[in-house]
Amino acid sequence: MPSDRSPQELPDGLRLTQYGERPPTGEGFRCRLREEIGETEISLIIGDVDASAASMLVVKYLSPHAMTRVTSVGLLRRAGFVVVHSPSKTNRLHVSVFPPALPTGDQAEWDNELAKRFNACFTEASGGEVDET
Amino acid sequence: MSALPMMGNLAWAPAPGIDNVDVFDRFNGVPTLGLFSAGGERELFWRALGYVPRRMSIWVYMPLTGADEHHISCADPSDLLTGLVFRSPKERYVTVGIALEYRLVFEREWHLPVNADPRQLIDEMLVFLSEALDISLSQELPPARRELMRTASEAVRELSVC
Repeated sequence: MPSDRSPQELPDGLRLTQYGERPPTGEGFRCRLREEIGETEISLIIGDVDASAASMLVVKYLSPHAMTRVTSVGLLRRAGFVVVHSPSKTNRLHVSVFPPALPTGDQAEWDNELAKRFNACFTEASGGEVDET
Repeated sequence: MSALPMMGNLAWAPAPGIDNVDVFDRFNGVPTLGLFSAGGERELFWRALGYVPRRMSIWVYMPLTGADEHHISCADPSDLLTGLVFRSPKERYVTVGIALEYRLVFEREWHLPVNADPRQLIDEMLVFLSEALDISLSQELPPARRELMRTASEAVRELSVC
């Protein structure tokens, strides 16, 4: 576990937790970016963190609707995602997940296929936003 | 408060003439906690509820005194809000805002409850917002604005019952 705000190299075996909230305060887990409203990365937390601890880290209080799911750095990387430690002032365990890099250097579009690939990396593929149509 | 949040602005940079935003935390790339400076004032922003239905979120803005800034600089970074927003030892005013897709659509000044724990604070804030939206809806509003306020009111009511 990092001891300060300096970004650390993340080994493939490291477990990562995603925070979400059940309805009505939430929509489950995000599985894609909403770039049109400013989302630039998917946030995860270093470690296998329970819902209460994740809630304190993310929303700063204990949400009764908090939920978590778990993956690993290696699973995400093997699926093509870019995974980096990106600590913030109040959450030094913050990890950023970005879409795979294209040969051109641009980021791949976070489309349905990528959303399904992202969900498949987790213990529970319950992201609610994959458009199956 | 000199740096009043304005409707239409980004929720984490809500006042005109902002010359600095210090992001303390973010989620999915969106700033969720930090400070901004505008008009010579420093103000804290915090996304109190980020997963509100219908792509809405609820934000708190607190003008900071020198003592508040000292508190922030000395506090455990993982617990900055205790003693400031949560369990505030004194009466003070903040602004609460509702954002649609992270653009402010509604804001009101609110009397922050004294010594409220997070759950109590959220509950009281939702009651206040529900009443404030009812007042807004009782007034003459352009149709598009009325629809927006109705949607916000429905979202807040959904949260209030859980």
